Amino acid sequence: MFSRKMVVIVGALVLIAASVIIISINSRRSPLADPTGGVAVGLFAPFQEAFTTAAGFVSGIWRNYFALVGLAEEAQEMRRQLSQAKADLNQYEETRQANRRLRSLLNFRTRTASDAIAAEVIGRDPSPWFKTIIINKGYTDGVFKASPVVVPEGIVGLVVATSAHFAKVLLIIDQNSAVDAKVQATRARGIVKGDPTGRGSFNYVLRKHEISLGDSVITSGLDGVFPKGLPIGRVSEIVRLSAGIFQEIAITPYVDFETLEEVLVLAPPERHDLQEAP
Amino acid sequence: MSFLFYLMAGVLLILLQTTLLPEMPLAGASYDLLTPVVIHISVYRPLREGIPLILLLGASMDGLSGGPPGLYVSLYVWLYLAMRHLRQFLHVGNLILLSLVAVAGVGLESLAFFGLIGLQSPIGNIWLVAAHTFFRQLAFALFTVPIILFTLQVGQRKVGRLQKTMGSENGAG
Repeated sequence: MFSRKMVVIVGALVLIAASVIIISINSRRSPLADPTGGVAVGLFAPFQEAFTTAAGFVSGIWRNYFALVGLAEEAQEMRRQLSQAKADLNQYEETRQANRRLRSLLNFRTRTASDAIAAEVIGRDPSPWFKTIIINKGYTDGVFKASPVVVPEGIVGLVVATSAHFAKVLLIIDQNSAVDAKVQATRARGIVKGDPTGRGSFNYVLRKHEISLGDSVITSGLDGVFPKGLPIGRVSEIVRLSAGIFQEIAITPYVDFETLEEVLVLAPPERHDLQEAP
Repeated sequence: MSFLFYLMAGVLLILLQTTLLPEMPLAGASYDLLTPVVIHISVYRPLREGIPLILLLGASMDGLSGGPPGLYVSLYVWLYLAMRHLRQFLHVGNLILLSLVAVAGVGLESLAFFGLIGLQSPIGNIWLVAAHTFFRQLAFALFTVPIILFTLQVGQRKVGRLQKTMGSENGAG
């Protein structure tokens, strides 16, 4: 009755419609509602951890040993010693920096919450357009969905998927992220949303509020996820439109997400419907 | 065995993409390394092997990414079907032509991402950033896609030979 060409065209149209509908429905759902995220994280994260460790080891060797290959023979012994010394120095420097970061985390942990869990970043989002990280702590360590993730400089994001030993964190610079916030000086409220450029926008701030460049934006605590008063970022651009009731504000986060290595996971809010059973 | 080969290659590229590439200076230009794998599978593997592979790889990427669930599966299925259709007209044994098709696939995938992101957050300056990233990704893909495809072809040939040897040994036994 129908030609083969017609069947192919109709099939393609149905498939296009189905995928557009599925993706648009999924893109409107909260990232917390995805029940399958933890499976892939659980499967891939151990390998990601091994890769990250191996990469650090290899880059250390590359920096400290292979860079010296090709030098004169008579200096070989001296250079070997130099290489060893450099390796040690590099190791000391790494340890010193890790010590400084961890000390800072520890101080911060004492200030914020004693039951915070320290975790390492072991993987990043496969796409440059979405901003998530994988950390090496999961529900057996007390990390659950909707747990806030922070560093001393400010808030990092929110746990959106967990496996036994690993978790996926949605960064505040992801476009699906939204944090209830206020300007520290004027207490003007709004919502901080991420955008694909890696900055954030501070939305729904009424035009009547006086905001200045450089003002600090902090969490309001009203979203029931992030504790009140944690730093988010600094106001970097303000556009007051002639019409409308809100002003457009861009913020630059305090956290450098490119160099993030260790984070603290705070206890999740008291929302048991979001927590996963181990 | 070739199913396992493609799966391992895919997993290795996912690990590269999520651990090593983001730490490198070219991180902003990194594209989806699985795109050439999807193109290669659609050209060289039969439907019954290709579809499960595409679904597995897509689901893995969806699980690790912060994008809407189903995004990578949909994109891979579309790339796969489009390439299955295209191979009727293209001389796909040619590595250069296949590389160009795969780079076009990278471009199409990026455009799909931009479309989705543009719909979700209509911010003016995003298009400038998107265009910049798009061209950097294409440039990076032009250099690296042929390497990935060549490696896959060599690996696939070796796996094929191994399969034949094992088959003839079993037949002789």
